[in-house]
Amino acid sequence: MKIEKTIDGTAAMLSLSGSLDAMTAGELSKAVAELGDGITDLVLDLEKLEYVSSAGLRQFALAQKRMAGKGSFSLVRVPPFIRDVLTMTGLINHMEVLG
Amino acid sequence: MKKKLTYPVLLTLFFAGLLLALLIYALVRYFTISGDDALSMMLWEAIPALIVLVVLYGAAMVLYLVRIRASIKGAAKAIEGAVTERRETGLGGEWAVLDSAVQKFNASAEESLKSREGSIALDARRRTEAGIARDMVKTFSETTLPCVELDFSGAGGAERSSVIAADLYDGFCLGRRTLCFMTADIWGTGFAAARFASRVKELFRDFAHSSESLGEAVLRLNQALIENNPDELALTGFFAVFSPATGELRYVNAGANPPVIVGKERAFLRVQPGCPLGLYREPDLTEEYLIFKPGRCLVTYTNGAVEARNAAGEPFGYDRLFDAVKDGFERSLGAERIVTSVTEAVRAFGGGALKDDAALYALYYPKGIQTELSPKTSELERLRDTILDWLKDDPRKNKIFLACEEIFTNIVNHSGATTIHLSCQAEGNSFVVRFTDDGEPFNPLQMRPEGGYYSNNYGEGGMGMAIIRQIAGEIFYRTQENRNVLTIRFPVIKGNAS
Repeated sequence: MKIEKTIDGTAAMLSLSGSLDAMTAGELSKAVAELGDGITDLVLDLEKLEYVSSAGLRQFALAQKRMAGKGSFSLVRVPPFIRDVLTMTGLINHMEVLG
Repeated sequence: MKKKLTYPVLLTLFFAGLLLALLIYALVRYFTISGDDALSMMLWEAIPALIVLVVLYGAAMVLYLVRIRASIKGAAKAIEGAVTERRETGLGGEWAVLDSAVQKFNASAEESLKSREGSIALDARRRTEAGIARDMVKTFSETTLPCVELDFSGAGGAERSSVIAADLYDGFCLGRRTLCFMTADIWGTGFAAARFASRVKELFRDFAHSSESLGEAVLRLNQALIENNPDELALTGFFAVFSPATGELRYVNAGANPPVIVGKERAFLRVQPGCPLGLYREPDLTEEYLIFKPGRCLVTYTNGAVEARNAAGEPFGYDRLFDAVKDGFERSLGAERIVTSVTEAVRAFGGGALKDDAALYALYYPKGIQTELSPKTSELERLRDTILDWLKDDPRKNKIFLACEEIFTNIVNHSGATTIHLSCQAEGNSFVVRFTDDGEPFNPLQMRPEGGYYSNNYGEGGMGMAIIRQIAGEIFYRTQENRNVLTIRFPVIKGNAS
C-alpha cells in the first residue's frame, strides 16, 4: 500500500492506494500518528484504494476517534468495493463519506 | 520339617541330662547335710564332677569333628577328580551312589551349558539383525516425504507387524508437478527382506528418473533384481506416475492387488495382473493408463492391509478398506489424512497385533486446490494469490478473498494454531473454502460485536464476522480430531460485477 500525504495548515489529506489489509493496516496507523496533534481535520482519499478488510476499517474508525471533538474526519472518492465493505459493517452510517 | 537326631545332638542331650542329674544331686546334698559348711562340702563334690563331664563332652565332640572332616575331604577330592578328569572316581561302598550322581550331573551340566551358550548367541544375533532391519525399514520409510501441491497431494504410510516384513511405499516428484509412487510387498521377512526393500526403493527411484517410460523403469528394476539377488527374494508391487497437467495416470501392476479409487463411487482400478519382480527375465508386465479426473483419490496397498485379522479371525477385507479411504477422503484434508485413516482402521481392527506389514500410498486429487499456510499475517499474500488465482475471472473474487482474509486473521489472532490447512473446491455453482487449524477450539461464529461495530471494542473481530456473514452463503464450524474446521460456501453468480 502507498500513502501520499498533503498538509494545509491544520488540515491533512492522506491518499491511499493498493490494499489496506491486516498486513498493511499498521502503515496507515503510523501515518495518522505522525500527523501530530496539530492536525484537526483529516481527509482520506480512497480513489486508488483497491481493497480493504476489517483491519483497515479499524484504522478508519481509530483515525475518526482521534479527530473527534477537535475537527472533522471524512472519506472521499470511495470506490464501490470499499463502499460495499463499509456498508456491510455499518460503518458507513457513522462516517462522513463524500463521493 | 522334622529334624534328624545326629550324633552331636545326641551327645549334647546326654551331656545336658548328666548336668541336670548333677544339679539335682547337689541340691539334695545341700539340704540333707547339716552344719555351717554344708555349701562348701556340696561344692567340693559337685565341681570335680562337673569338670569331668565337660572334659568328656569336649573330647567326644573333637573326635567326631575329626572323623567328619576326613570324610568330607575324601568326598570332595573324589568329586573334584571326577569333574576335572571326567573319570570314574572309584569310590565304592556307600559313596557309589554319590559317585554315579556326580557323573550324571557333570554330563547334564555340560550339555545344558553348551545349549544355553548356543541359545544366547542365536538370540543375540537375531536381536541384532532385527534391530538393524527395523532401523533400515524405518530409515527408508522416513525418507519419503508427503508431496503436497496446490491441486493434488500424495502420501504414504505403513502399519508394521511383529515380523519384519519390510513392505514398502515411496513417492517422489519426477520433474515439475509429476508424482511417481509405488507400493511393494516383499516375499520374505527379517534382515534380508529389509535389505532387499531398501535396494528396491533406491533402484526404482534411480530408474524412474533415468528411463523413458514407467514400463521401462519397472523392467530395469526387475532385471537389476534378478542379476543381483543373493537372498532369492521377490516382490509384488504397483508402480504409477501421475501428471495433473494432462490428468494422465500411468501404471504398471506387478502382481499386486488392484488399487482402490474413491470419489462419488467406489471402484477398483482396472489392472492387468502382471508378474512379480525378481523372478523371471522376461516378465509379463503392461504399462496402462487412464485419465484420472479430479474429485477422486486412489489408494494402492499391500496384502497386509486387507488380510489383517481381528481377534475373531475375520479379515479386514475390501469393504472396510473402502470405508476407511472414504472416511479420509471426505475430510478433504489431503492424502496424508487418507493414509492415517486407513492405517488407524487397520491397527484398531487388528488390535495392535498384525501378522503382516501393511504399506500404502494415497493419491488425493480433489476438485479445486489445497495448501498449508503458516499462522502469520505475512501469509496473507500467499492466501490472496491462491484464492485469486483459483477464481481467475470470477467477478466476486475480491469479496471471497475478503471473507477468507477475515477468517485467516481470526485464526491467527485467536486460535494459537501452528498450521492452517486451506482447501478450495468448486461444487456445482458454489465455491467451498475450508480452513482447518490445530489451535485451541475456537468458534468464530460465536463472536459478537460488543456495543455495535462502531464502538471502542474494535479489536474483538466483530467487524470481520459481519463481513464474512454477508459475503458467505453458508458457514459451518465443527471440531474434528482436535482441529477447528470452518467451512464457507460462497454462492457464485456469474456476471455479478459487484
